[in-house]
Amino acid sequence: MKLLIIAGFLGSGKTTVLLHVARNFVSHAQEVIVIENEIGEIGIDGQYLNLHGLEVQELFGGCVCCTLSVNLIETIDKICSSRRPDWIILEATGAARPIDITGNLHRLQTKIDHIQVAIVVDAGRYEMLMDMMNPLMTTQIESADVVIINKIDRVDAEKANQIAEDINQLNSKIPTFKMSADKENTLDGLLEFLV
Amino acid sequence: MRNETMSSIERVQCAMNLEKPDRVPIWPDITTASAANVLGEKIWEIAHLGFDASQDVELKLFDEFGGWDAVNPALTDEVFTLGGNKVIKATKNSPETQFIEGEYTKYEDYEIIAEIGWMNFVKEHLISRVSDIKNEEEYNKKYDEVINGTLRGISEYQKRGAFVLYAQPNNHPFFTLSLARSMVKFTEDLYYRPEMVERALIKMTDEFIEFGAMLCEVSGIRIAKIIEERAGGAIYPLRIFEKYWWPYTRKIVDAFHSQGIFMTFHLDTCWDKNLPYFKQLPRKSAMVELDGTTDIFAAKEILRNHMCIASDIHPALMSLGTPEEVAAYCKRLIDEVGGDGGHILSTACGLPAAAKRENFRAMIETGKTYELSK
Repeated sequence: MKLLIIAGFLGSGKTTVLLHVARNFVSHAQEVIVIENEIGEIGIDGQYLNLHGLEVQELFGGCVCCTLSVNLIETIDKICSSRRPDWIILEATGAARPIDITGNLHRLQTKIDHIQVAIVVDAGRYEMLMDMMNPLMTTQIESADVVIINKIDRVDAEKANQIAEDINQLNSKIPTFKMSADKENTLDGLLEFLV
Repeated sequence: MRNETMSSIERVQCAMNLEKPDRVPIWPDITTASAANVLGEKIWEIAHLGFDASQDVELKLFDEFGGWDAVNPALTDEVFTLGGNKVIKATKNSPETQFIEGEYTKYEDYEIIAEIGWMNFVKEHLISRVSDIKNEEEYNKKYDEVINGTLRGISEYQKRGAFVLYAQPNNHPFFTLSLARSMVKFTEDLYYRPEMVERALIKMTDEFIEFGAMLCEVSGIRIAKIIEERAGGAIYPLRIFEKYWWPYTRKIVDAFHSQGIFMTFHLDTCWDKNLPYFKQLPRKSAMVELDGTTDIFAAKEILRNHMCIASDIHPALMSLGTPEEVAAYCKRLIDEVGGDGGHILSTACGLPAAAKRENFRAMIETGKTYELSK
């Protein structure tokens, strides 16, 4: 059983990426359970994801709160004990530090074989967020296994490359994927990486 | 084992005055959800019964464990809703209040807030966007229920000899706007068009001082609590903190201090970089509550002999750890953070809803016995 944590700020396109990835897994006969930890993007919630054939557990929170991190761990642990799907996909809040979640998971020694952290960044807002929320952005990128530079249709090619370079300066080993998440074919590289 | 020589009230006051009490004062910072869990009751049934039912569960836990030193009245879903937050009550599958962040305010709302203040804005505009409260009359009815319930909670705890830390907390103006506007939008506003945000912050700061003093007057509790989860150095660079958080905070603390009101700061996320600023506040004017991500032992070095610290037994430890691990961490806190006083033994960001009963007992028992049995 694998866990994919999709993190990034509200509005970065996490839910859209999640939908594409989850539907791809399901189409390859993989069982997927989604944990929704944030609501807000175009009103997407568990019911919307249910409509797309995904099983969803909602666990919302308005703060970074460590308490919520524990609730997440407990939810994951219950899924591990009862269902053992092939994949759990967690959409984390924008303020979350994935390192807090993975740290507790390792402590609990759940039955998860592999954890991947994908950070979604909004290319159009990258510069502003890197300037205004540099500590959080930096922490998120440093703890990621992959960064998805989303909404590249909103910036020119040079800017998109610059963002990728910037991310690689923070974390030289990390693969980056540029995409416009509303165009599914741009996600192929990411899907190959994840599986 | 030595006997206790102080009452709970004396013990907490002693710590807030940066002195060494007979033993560490204990404040587990329970919630209704965590109290219900430890008692084996169902929060999703209690949460729908109103303020008094929540308060009664918390009092029941207090009595069952023989009490502790510092307490606060119940902090229910209604308190958060009346403050302008969108919340979902606990359910069987999700046994804790859930906060739903969204863009409930528009940029234009800053101007309204700057004109009429946050509380009037909530009543007249925001409350219907985040709850099923439709008008001011309904709002006021809920508000009265919360105030009356809070006063009853204070009275019940005082009958039991506990030190009531505060009546009800309030979010910092910065955090309030970030929650209501959503974090990214609020940050964008600060980046592109900060003028109106600043006007709103100024108005809300004055209102915070006025309302906080009024609440202290009504409740008889001369301590105001402020919550901030987002302004710390783990999220924003110091220049943002220095411009949009610290000046407003200083104004609040200075105003309260001049009226003899003590402040307690609930600081979530890592504040390692920000804590040196707190030394600019008057000595003994405030306390900081840390959430386990700030290095509390480094914080002690920074704030030693200047400010009391409420400690940070992490939710993961209370929920996933063992009683032995909880007791060991409590002892370390008591020795290292409370060695020369100025420490209240507490949980980080409140006792989690999933805390184990045996871990809760380990915290309370270690606090009550460790120093006296040395």
